[in-house]
Amino acid sequence: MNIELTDLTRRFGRNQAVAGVTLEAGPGVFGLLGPNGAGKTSLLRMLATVIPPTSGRMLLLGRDPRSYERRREIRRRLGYLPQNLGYYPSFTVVEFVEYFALLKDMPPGRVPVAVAAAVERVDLGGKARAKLRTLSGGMLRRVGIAQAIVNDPELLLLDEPTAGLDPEQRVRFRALLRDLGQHATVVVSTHLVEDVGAACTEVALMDAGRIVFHGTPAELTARGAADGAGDSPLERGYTATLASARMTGTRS
Amino acid sequence: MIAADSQIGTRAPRTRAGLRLMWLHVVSRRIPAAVVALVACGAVLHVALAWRWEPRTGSGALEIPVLFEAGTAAVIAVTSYSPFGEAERATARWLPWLRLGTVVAMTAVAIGLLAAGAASAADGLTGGILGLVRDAAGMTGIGLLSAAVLGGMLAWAGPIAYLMVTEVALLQAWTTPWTWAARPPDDEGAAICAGAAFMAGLVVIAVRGPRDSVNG
Amino acid sequence: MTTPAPRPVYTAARPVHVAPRLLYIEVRRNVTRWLLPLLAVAFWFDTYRTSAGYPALWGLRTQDLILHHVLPDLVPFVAAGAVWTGAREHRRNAADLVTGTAWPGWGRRVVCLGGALGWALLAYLGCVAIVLVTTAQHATWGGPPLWPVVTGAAEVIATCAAGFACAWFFPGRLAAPLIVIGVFLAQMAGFSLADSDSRLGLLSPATHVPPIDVGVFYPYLPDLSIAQTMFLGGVAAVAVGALGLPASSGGRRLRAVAAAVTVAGLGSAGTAAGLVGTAYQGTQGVVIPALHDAASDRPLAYSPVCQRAGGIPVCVQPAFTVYLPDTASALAPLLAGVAGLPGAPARLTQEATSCVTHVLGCTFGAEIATSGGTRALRFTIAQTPGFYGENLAAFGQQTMAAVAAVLVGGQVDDAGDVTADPAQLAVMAALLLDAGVPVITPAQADADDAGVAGPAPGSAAYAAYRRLAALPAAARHAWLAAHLAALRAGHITVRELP
Repeated sequence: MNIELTDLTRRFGRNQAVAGVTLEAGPGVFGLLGPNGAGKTSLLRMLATVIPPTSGRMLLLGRDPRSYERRREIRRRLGYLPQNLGYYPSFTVVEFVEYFALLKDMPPGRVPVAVAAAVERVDLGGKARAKLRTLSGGMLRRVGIAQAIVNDPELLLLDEPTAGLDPEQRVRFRALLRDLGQHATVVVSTHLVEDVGAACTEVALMDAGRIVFHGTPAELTARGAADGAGDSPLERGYTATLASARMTGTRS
Repeated sequence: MIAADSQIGTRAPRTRAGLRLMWLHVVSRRIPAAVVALVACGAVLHVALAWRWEPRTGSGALEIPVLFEAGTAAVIAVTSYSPFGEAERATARWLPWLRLGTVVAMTAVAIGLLAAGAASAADGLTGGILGLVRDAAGMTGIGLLSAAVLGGMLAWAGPIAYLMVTEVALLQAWTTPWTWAARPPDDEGAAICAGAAFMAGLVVIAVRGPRDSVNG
Repeated sequence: MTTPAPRPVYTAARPVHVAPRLLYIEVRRNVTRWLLPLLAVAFWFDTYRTSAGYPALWGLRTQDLILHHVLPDLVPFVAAGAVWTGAREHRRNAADLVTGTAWPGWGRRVVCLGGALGWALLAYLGCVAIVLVTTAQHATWGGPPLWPVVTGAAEVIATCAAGFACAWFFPGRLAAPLIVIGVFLAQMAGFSLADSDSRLGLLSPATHVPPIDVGVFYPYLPDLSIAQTMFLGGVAAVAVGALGLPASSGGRRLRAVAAAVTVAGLGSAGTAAGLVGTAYQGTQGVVIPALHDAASDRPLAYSPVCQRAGGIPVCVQPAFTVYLPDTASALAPLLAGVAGLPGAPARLTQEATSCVTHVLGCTFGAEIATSGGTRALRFTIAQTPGFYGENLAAFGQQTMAAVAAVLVGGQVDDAGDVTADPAQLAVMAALLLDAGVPVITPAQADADDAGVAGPAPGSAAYAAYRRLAALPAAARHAWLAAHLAALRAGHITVRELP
C-alpha cells in the first residue's frame, strides 16, 4: 500500500476540515469526490506533506512523514499539483519543470531527458521555450501537471487537474492518468464525476471532512439507481450517496 | 405619507450599503495596515527630526523630509493593487469613485501624519508645510502613474526612483521644476508640476485603475 | 493491458551537483538584472561625473568614490531587487508547490537569494572596475587598497541578504516599500551617529571621510575596514541564518546549523560594535587597537619628485606628481624672495596630512613643520588645487604664509594661525606682500576675508611692515641676510626694522 491513513484529522482553528479519515490505497487511480468544503484539498495537502495532520497516523510509500528524513524520501517520490498553481511568469516552460525536477533531488544528468519527456507528455512540446506569462490558463495547468510527473512519481496527487482543459485535452489527460496508475498511486481530487468514471479504479466520496463512500465507480453508480438526481448514472450515485450520508450522518 | 415612508425606508439601507461597500473596498486594499504604516512614518519622522539626523541647512536639510514623503507615496501607491482583477472591473459605476476617494483620503492622511510628526519636533520641517503638501502629493501622483504602468504591487518603484533622482538633484542643485522635491517651497513651477503629476495620477487610477497582472 | 515498463531506479542527487543548476536558473530569471540600466544611469550621474574632479590617488578614489558614491547609489537597487525576490513565493502563491519538494526550505531560499545577489555583486564589481581603471589611467604611484572594495562587497551582501530575509518573513504589499525606505533610513542614521561623534557611526562605510593622502605616505590602515566588514558580514550571516530557523526549513541538523550561523553573525556584529567603541583617531587614520598592525605605522618608502621654485627645490610624493608644477609655481614668488638668506629652507618637502582628534577624519588645510634642526621645511597638500572647492591661489597663500612664518621664527598651529612677535610679524607681512599674497588686518581675518593676517593698522608693527615693504627688494634681502638669525631669536624689535 502506498497510502495508509488511520483516523486522520486536520483542524484549522475551530474548523475541522478533515474529521477522521481512514484509507488505504495502492497502485491505481484513486478518485476523490465531494462538494465544496468537504476537506478534499486539506486531505491532499496532508498527503503532499505540505501541512501536518492534527491527529491520526499516516504512512506514505511505507514511510512516516513525521520524520524529516522520511519526509524528504517521500517528497523525492512525490508529484503534487495544487488547486491554485503558483508559478513564476518569467520562467519558461522547460525552466519551470526543470526547477522542480531539481528541487525533487533528481540526478542532474537525468533531468533534461525527464523534463523533455514530461513536457511532451502534456503536449506542450511546441511551447517548451515560451515564457509562462504568455500561456493560457489551460496550458498553465498542463505545465503544472508536467512538473508533477517529471520525476516519475510513485505517489501523484492532483487537485482539480482538468480545470481549464478543453475536452480533447481532458480525454488525453485521462489516458495519461490510466497510464500513470499502472505503477503509481494517483489521487485525483475533482468535481467532475466523468473524470472519475473514465480514469479511476477506486473512488472515495468526502463530505464534511469524512469519507462517506469508498469503493469502485460501478458501486457508486449502483447507489443512484433508485433515487439519485443527476444527468449521468455516476452523478446520480454521487448525489444519492451524499443525501443518504447527510440524513444518517454515518460513514460508509 | 406612504411614499415618504418608503423614501425614508430606502435611504437608510442605501446609506448603510454605501458605507458597507466603502469599508469592504478599504479592507480589500489593506488600507488599515497602510494607515498604520503611515502613522509609523510620521512617528519615525518625528524621531529623525528630534535626533537631528539631517543637517539643518544646505541641500542635506531636505533629505529626511523627502525620504518620508517618498515612503508615504509608495505606501499609498501599493494600496491601489486589487486582489480581484477583472472580476471587479466588470462591475458597475462605483469603482472609479471608490478608487478616487481612497487615494485622496490616504493622501490627506499621509500629509496630516507627516505634518504632525514634523510639528512636534523642535525646529519644524525644512521646506515647511507647503513644501510637504506639494512634495507628498506630487510623489503620490508618480506612484499612481507607476501603478497604472507596472501594476499595483510594483507601484512603489516610481516614488523610490523619484527619491533617487531628487537626491541627485539636491546634490547638483538642479533647477528644473520637475524635481519639485528639491526646489524651495515657494517655487511656483515646482508646485504646478507636482500638482499636474498628482492630478494625472488621480485621473488615471480612478478611470483605468492599476494594471492587472495574474498573481500580482 | 501491456506490462508496465520497469521503473528507473536512481539515488537522490547531491546538493553540490544540483545547486549550481538551480542557481543558474535563479540568476537567469532574477528581476535585479532589469535594474542594471537604471543603476548605470545613477553611476554616470553621480560617481563617474564626480570622479572627473578627483585627484588620481588610489587610496582616496578607492575609499571615497566606492564607499561614498557607488554604494549609496547601488544599495537601494540591491535592496529593491532582494525584497522583490524574497516575497516571490508568497506573491506568486507558490508556497505549497515548493514546500512539497525534497529540497530543504533553507537551501531553496539561499539559492533564490543567490540569484539576486549574483546580479548585485556583478553590478558592484563593474562599478569598482570602472573606478579602478579610470584611476589607473592617471595615477602616478602606488596601487589600490583592497579593503575598501571588500567592505563595499560586504555591504552589498548584507543589504541583499537582509532585504531578502525581511521580505520573506514579512511578505505583503507594504513590505517592499517599507523595507527599501528602511535601507535609506539606515544610511542616514549612520551619518547622524557619526556626526554626533558616536563610535557606532563608524560601522557604516559611508560615514568616515578619508584624508586626501590616505595610503600614500603610510600604508592604508585597514582597522576600520576590518571592523566594518565584520559588522556587515555579521548582519548578512544573521539574515541568512534566520531563513533557516522556521520549521519548514529542514531537518533538525540543518536548522541547528542555521541557528549556529545566526549566532555567529550576531557575535561578529556585536564584536565589531565593541571594537569600534575602542577606536581613536590616529595620525594616519582610525586605529582600533585590537586590530592594529604596527607595520601600518611605518612610512612607505618613495623617491620624491622635485622641481625648482625660485631656486629652491619643491618636492612632492610621486603620487602627487601631476600637482608638482602648480605647487611649485604657487610657492615660487615667496621662495624667490628668500632664496640664499641664512636659515632659508634648502628644500620644501611634502609630508603626510596629520589627523586631529575628530573621530570622523582629518582637518583640511596647509600645515608646516620643521624637521628637527634641518633646513628642510615640510608642507602638506591637504586639498589639491581645484579639489574640494579650494583653488590654487588659496593653497599657495596658506603654504607661503606658513613658510614665511617659520622663516622669521614664528609658530604655526594646526589651524594655520601664526604666533609671532611684532617684528617677526612685520617682516613676514612684508615678505608675503612682495610675493603677491594679500595681507589683511586682524579684523578682516576674523571676518574670514581672503588673505593672511598682518599687523593691526596704527600699530608700530604695521608702520614697520609698510616701511619694509616699500624697500627695494635688494635692500630688503640684504637686511634680512644680516639680521634674520637675530630676528628668529626674538632679538630684533620693531624700531630696529628698516
